[in-house]
Amino acid sequence: MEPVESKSYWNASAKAGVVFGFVVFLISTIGSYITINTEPTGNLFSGTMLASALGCLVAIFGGVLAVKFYINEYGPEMKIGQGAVIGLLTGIVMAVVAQVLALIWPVIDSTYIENLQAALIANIEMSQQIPAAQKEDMIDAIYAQFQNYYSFGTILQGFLMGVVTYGLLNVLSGLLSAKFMGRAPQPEL
Amino acid sequence: MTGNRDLSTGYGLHPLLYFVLLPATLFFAAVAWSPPFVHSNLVEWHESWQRLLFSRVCHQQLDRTFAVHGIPLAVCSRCIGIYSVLPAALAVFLFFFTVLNRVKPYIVTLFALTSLIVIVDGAANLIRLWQTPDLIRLLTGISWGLASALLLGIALTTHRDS
Repeated sequence: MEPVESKSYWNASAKAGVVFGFVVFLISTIGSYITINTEPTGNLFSGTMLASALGCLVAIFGGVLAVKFYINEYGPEMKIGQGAVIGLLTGIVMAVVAQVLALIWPVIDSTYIENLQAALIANIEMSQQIPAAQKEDMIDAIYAQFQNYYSFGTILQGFLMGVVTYGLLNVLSGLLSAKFMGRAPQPEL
Repeated sequence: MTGNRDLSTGYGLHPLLYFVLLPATLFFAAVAWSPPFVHSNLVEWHESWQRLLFSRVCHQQLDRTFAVHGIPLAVCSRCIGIYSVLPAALAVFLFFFTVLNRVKPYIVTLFALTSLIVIVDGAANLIRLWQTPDLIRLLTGISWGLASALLLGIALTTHRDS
């Protein structure tokens, strides 16, 4: 009697999650450096605008790549639900990888947090859209946010937000990939 | 045809639609609309988990975001169109399942076309080639959300056993 082959989603999800977690982190960090190196204009999200828009577009392909890896490993027969689970796992891995890299980067560039904080505060100070009475409070809030960059609560919050957003995006791309790249299993006779 | 299942052909909508996608898209739509109703100033908005949740997938620029009583929504004018129309369209498909079959041949083209419009308009705004008014952004978001819902509806149309 031949052993039944166990089809694990983790291999495909982990590979695609690591790749896209790194890419999403890279885009986010480039966006932050654009903010740092651009003269303050009063626009709150000048540098991260590019990063978030691109990050959303790119992140969704994690589920596609994971399903591709799964099909390469086990063949095209898969249910739509399997594609969704692969996508969800990929989103979770992406969130972990992007979060870990975001924690490591300020160690590599020790001025990163300080410079980003200064750039964001400079933008708020020049902003025409924020009432003057609220500017000080917002600057204090940003200052506190960066002071707590390595706190457990901030790390957990970042991870959970990543799981929810990347998770759902990749559930969608995973199930669509399973539908269009895979093949529905044939019922056994 | 009964409910969301066409008994004559054996096709129906996948349970993922009812138990995952519809609740998830409803949650995201509610969160996207919620900040003006739970926060009273921009500082609270800026610190809110609603803004943080969408900060990974939307630029949330104040001048490109609709506001209610001076408090912005959690996403920009284009994204609010997407997040609002997705659950609404998916819910409609639950009750009018045959709509999907009628538009099936055009869905991929429609999705590609609306995606192209969103990407071109978004890129042009980004490099300041032109500035699209918020109402047009909203309409491009609604059209892309509708095309996405159609695509998801087709993807989740299954045989009973798949």
